[in-house]
Amino acid sequence: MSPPAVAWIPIMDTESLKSGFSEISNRSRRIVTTPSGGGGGHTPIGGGFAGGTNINGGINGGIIHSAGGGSVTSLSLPGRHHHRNHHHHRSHNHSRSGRNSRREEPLLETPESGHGSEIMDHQVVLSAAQSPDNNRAPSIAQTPREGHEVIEVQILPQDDGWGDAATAVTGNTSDRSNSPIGNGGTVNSIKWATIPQENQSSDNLGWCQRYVGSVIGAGIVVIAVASPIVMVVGHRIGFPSSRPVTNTRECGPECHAFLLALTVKLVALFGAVWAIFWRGSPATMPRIFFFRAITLLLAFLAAFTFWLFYWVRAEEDGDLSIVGATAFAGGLADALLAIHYLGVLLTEVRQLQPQFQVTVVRSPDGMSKQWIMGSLSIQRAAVWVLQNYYSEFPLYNPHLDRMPPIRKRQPSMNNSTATSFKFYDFDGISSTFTPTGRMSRRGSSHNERFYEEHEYERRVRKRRARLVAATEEAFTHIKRLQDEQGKGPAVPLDAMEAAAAVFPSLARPLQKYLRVTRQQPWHTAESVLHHLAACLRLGLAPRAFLDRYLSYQPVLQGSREGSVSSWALVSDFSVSRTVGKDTNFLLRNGEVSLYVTVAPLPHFNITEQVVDPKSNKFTLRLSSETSV
Amino acid sequence: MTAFQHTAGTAMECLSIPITLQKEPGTDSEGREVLRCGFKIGGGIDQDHTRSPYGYTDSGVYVTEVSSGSPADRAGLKMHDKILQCNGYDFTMVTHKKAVDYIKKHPVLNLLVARKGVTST
Repeated sequence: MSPPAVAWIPIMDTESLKSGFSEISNRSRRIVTTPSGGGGGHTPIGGGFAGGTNINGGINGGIIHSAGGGSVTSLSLPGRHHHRNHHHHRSHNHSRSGRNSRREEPLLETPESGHGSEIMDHQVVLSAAQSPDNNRAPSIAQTPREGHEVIEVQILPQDDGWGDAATAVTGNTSDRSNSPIGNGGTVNSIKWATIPQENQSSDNLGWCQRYVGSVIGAGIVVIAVASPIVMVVGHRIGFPSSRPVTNTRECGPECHAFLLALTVKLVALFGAVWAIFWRGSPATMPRIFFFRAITLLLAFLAAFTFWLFYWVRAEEDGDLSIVGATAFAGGLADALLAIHYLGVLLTEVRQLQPQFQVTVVRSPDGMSKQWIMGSLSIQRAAVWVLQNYYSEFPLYNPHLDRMPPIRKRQPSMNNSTATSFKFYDFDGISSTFTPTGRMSRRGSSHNERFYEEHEYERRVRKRRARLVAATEEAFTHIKRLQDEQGKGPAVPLDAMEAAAAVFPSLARPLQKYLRVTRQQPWHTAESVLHHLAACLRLGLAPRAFLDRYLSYQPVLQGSREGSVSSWALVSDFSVSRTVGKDTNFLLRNGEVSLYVTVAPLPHFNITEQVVDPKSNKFTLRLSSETSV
Repeated sequence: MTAFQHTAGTAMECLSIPITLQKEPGTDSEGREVLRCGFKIGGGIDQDHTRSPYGYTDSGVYVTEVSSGSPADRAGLKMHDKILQCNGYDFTMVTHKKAVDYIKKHPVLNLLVARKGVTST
């Protein structure tokens, strides 16, 4: 892995000198070249790199075939990460013929914006003046062939700078390109490579709002649990001190027994409170959590009552002995344990028995799942649904719905429903019925849709097969060194270096697969490399490495939300009600909506049916014989 | 060509055992009054003899079971007999259904059967 980042730039320079191309490195150096007369005799780009990298023969992504047949690739690459240089090279296989004409190539190599780099302007030199059919390059000025030609093309930042972004421009090696650029779209119509920003949901869940319930509850619990100790210790040290110290303070056998029992009960109480209640609540709900409030109220009442009686006894009557104090403390501990038991049952155990079947449908893409749930209030059911949603639903891919239109077929299609529906509103506002993003695909007739989906699936499967094959082959190149084999020819690499060495051979199929499934905004080159290094280090098989890309991850792992996610709960009934037969509610967050319906499970009537063992006799009945 | 490897339709000459069977009234599985013989037949020209569990070697009509105490048993019919003729009707080239129909038609059956080991070696 030693493609020197510096080495190819000079080559490119000479190349560009000869071919009239220029490129901008990340130092924003502008190279203005004069194309030499005639383009013959320049070395193909690929020759310069074949030694240094392991470019496959078919790296032909960024090629537009103009009418003249001369084809061009161009490249410009910030050489910041040297290991990425491989992928950015697009050598083109066509030998540059002597014709220097009609080379036009909008170079739209885009940098990675996900790394926080600045957006770079790539400046492309085109010698496009001569070809009149230059109708595909966006915003390219026709310039004369001679002289300095510098054209600026602004490109939307793309996240996948590690891959071959030029394919987005010019079409893929397969002739079924979805790229809008190649199909007459513009640069700005590439929408599917941006990361949604971090603040898509208003995370205005203030500290107060989130923690006030927990703080109050914690306060009550602490007071209640500490009360027995305070009672006993207070009696010892003469608290409340206004009481005349008359009674004896010796601790007889009953007192010892009480104290021991109190100790054990307090240990149990501390452990119980810590285990069940001393953890953050999973959600902040719009209405109060009824059962928890009841439990806290009972605990508070118990503590209050016990303190009241204690105080009265100690202050007014003055006849509180140590036995009495420990009796109060023990009684309070008992009461708190009982209330804790009640609280656990109400808040944790009651919903364990399955009673309802919940169906959750996700709105933009229609994915649904069913679960079994216990009896909960609507808001708690919403929390429960969200917990399961985050762990089981596959990640929603908004780009799948906004597929750019398929390249137009022959105009002689007999599809007459493709035009949009226009209507005129006589109040002066005329408009066309603009279909929603989903329907903006041309050809909303069912037949076309069927074939489109069929083609799409075929393409996905084909690329998936290539990806799996390439990955398995790449993994065979790596062999784990068993022990000190210092005599081997190669210097041993650590996991990250091994990953970087193997990565180029599977970068292309992987990137193509991610493109087809519109997943590339989710996986950057860094993340892929890290994952690969981890897989190699742990000795995982190639398919285990690929699983992250072939199958959709659950929402939790793929989403980029922070630690707080806000969902809006819409329900016809009050959200403190228990779910029932016809309960429906909606959870909404941004463009994802979850529609939840609840159906009660029936009461099962199980009866026993006795099968006589004598009826377990069998005879052979062949169809080929008849009894006469 | 023996009687047990007979190609249906060709002429054959073999020894046979004549059996006269008198049917007796009985009730069938649905309770109706029928004349029962007390044996089961299998095979026929439309059946595939290679799939028979008994390994019959041609597509004639064979007796696959004789229930004890039945008229067939009393008449001397034995299991794996091949029925060559029934009341003068040739049974070497009949379908299974026809065989059943013919047997059920008459109250007295004059059968000519071939028995392995007896009529042929």
